[in-house]
Amino acid sequence: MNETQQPLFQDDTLIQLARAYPYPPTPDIAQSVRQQLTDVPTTATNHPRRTPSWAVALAAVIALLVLGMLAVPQTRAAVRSLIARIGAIQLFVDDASPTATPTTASQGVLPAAPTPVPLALLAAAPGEPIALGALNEFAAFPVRLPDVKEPWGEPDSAVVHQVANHSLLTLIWDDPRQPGHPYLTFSQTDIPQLAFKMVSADQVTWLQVQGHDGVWIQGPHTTGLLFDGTATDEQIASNVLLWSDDAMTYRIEGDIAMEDAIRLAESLTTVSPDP
Amino acid sequence: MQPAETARAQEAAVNEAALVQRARRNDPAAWEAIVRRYQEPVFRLAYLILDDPADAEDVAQEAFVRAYLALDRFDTERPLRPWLLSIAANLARNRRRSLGRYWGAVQRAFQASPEPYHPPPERTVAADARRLREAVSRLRPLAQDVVYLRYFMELSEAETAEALDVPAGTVKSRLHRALAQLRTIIEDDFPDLQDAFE
Repeated sequence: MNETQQPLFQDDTLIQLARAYPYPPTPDIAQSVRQQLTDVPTTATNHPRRTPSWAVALAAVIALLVLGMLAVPQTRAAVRSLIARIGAIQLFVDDASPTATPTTASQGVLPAAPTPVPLALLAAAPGEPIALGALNEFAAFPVRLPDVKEPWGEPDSAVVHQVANHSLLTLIWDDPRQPGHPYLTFSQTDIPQLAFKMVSADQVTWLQVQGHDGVWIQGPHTTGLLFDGTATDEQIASNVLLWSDDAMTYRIEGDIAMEDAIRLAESLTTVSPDP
Repeated sequence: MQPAETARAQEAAVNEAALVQRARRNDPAAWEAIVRRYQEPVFRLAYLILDDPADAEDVAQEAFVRAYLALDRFDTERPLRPWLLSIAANLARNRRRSLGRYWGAVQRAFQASPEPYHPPPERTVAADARRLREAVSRLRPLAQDVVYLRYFMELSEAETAEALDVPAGTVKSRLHRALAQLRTIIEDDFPDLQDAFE
């Protein structure tokens, strides 16, 4: 389709269609607002001034909005195109995404200095902690674990998110110099649609992991959960390896070099449930 | 607009300004009249963003209370509706950002629709509108805002610019990008909806 030769949509057509949207009935908001306003302290002659609690609340709202805008500069307005779906993840190219920068990770060694890694899902929702020895009891699929241990060692913890009849299982390695601060995660999920990522073209390396299509994303990018009206952006500083087979999506995220992430990924083996 | 409609619009604006002035002088009844006039679009915009009637009601209430408390700073020369919608949109977005709701939204999405989307057999206008909204909800938040305000709330481009507090040119460019992305989403995931635009 040639985008330059025809209008995207007719405004009137869009408005007419949107007008038919079946909203739920509008509740009687006026009554409850009036009730709330009668509870607001007023002065004798002036319009009621904001109480300290309102001031705090409003300041917090403004601060959050400002921080949100600062955290994701320009990126939200610059969607260009969907370039791929890796299992549950949609990948968009966004020219306004931060330029990729090398991370501190080098092959086979921990980063030289502790690096705060805003791991998207963990920051957003911690999930339910589960015992490493009981992973299969909590996942809706056969769990896979890395066979390569060095230099990361065993995972420090694991969490699971249960969603309807799906699971998202995440293994977490803490920075040894900062216990409780994750620097690497490996997630596996059978959720069919989960999130989007905004990247610039120079951040992306297409590759194969265990015979399946995957992608390496180098450096800072924006990600978010993607659902019906509930997308939320988070700026991610770490590198990500994503790949998918028919039913599962896998993700390694953290301060890790591509070669190490691939090595970790290629070592995955299925854990047999205990008899 | 016909002369009679113009006169009615001018009269409504005068009445609205009078109500705002009364509300500024501690007259909750005047503000209640304003709320009744705009509660439907404010609630609906919050619903579009949050997809939950109870949450949308909370946000709509809070938007009107905050607007009332901020009336001293409102420029009565400007239209009230975009200002109210702007407050509601910000509150709704902020609520959606909160971490506690982040995963809850995922849970609800799956509970409501545990399987990948399949177009329903019905082809009513309302069903098409529902699909259109679902397609819009897959846009980035800024793109959703401009589409909801311009097409679902039926603000003019100038009013949309007021609500978003951006220049009119920015609204045009955001709309263009949002609609380009929307078309891709519809072509890929809602192909049956294309008929509605032919």
